[in-house]
Amino acid sequence: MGSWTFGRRARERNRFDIEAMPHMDAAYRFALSMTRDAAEADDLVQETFLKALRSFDTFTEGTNCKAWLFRILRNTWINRLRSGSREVMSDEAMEAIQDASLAGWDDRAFYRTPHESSVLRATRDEILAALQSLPGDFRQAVVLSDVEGLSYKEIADVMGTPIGTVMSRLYRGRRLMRRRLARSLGLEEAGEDDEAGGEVLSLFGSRAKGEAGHGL
Amino acid sequence: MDCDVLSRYLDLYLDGELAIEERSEVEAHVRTCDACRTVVTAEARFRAVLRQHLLSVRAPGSLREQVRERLEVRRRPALTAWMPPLAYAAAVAAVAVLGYVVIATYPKAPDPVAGAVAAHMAASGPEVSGDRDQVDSFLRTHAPFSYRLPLQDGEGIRLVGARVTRLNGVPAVVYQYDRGGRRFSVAQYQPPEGVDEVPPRMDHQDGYTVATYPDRGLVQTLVGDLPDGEISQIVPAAWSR
Ligand SMILES: [Zn+2]
Repeated sequence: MGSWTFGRRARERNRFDIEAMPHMDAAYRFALSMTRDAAEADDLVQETFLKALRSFDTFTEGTNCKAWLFRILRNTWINRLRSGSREVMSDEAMEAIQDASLAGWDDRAFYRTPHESSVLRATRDEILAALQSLPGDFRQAVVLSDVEGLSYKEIADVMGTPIGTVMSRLYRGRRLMRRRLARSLGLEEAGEDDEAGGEVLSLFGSRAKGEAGHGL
Repeated sequence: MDCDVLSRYLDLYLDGELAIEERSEVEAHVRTCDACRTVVTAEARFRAVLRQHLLSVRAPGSLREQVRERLEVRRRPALTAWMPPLAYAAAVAAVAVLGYVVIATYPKAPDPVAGAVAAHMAASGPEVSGDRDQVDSFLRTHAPFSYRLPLQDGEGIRLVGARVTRLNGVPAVVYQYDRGGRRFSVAQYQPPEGVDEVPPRMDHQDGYTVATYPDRGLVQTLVGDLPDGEISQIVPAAWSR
């Protein structure tokens, strides 16, 4: 019988059901945060779980399976971006745009005003729209940290960047998101600086195909 | 710590990325500074709102189903290649359909199920008819491998015959059972070399329910028009494995 062992694969399969399958909602959210297109997110999640099953023996038990799935998911997405005509913007370019967009923004002032309670009453759609307006890498960092609860180290592993880059993406992404939300709720006037940044951002935001106004 | 330092530590603090000492410094400052306490509280509440809204985004049920289905296909047992010719004309179409599906999924890994369905559907009778003892003594001289009667008699199940055959090139014994007047068969065969995975699985093929499961070093494929629930009762040990 030699190589014919019934138990090992079956155990691995059970382990996959227990460890990986419960993260399908999270995988779908993360896929949406990258693709911003429901059909494409769907497709990406399917490919991710098939790849994950195939390579489940490379998953280290006791580590964060959700983060492991996210890494596969993101790599799959990056490969699709590269194989299509879609371009990936450099970190420097993105940070420059972010900084232009954040000129004049002051969190502390924002949170000390009565606006704060209006922001907390924002609807899901208003919050999603503000998040969606962020450039992809910033949006992903915010989702991974604030929604999925990954550590900086785990986010760095998922995104293949140093921890410092994760921190700067989170810092800029969060603040830009709050500013856009405040603006959409009529709590802040649009300034010229931000308008300039906003235009570039919206160009960047609609760069990928199928980025319809759906999802994260 | 002053208010400027706290601003720089705000994200790290709320993200749980500070060491214990730094954490207590932040908390000590926040206790004494109203302005910073307002910011920390507001930011924490905002994050809670964001998280709550976003966690309500769930994978659609259709996606869940598709993933499950595709994973099941991936998990089917891999067996060495088989090729027609098939012994039984009536089964050719069914096997061709399943063979196509399986080969399209696994170029090097066809499947014993179609063969078992073919054997079950075959018009030719078993090579031995009779009860448990008669079948056993027949197989002792004819079985091509170390066979084992697959099911216990009882609970309305009765062994009525067996036949030595090949399922798409794989030597097999096909046992015929009777359950309340209905026939079902169990094909038993050795797993081919190099195969390390035969998870129990249930298929539906041409109106038959087909259950494949490992049993003490052999593989068994049960074919019959029995409901899934009855089959799981017949082979409970395999499914609980
Ligand atoms: Zn302070």
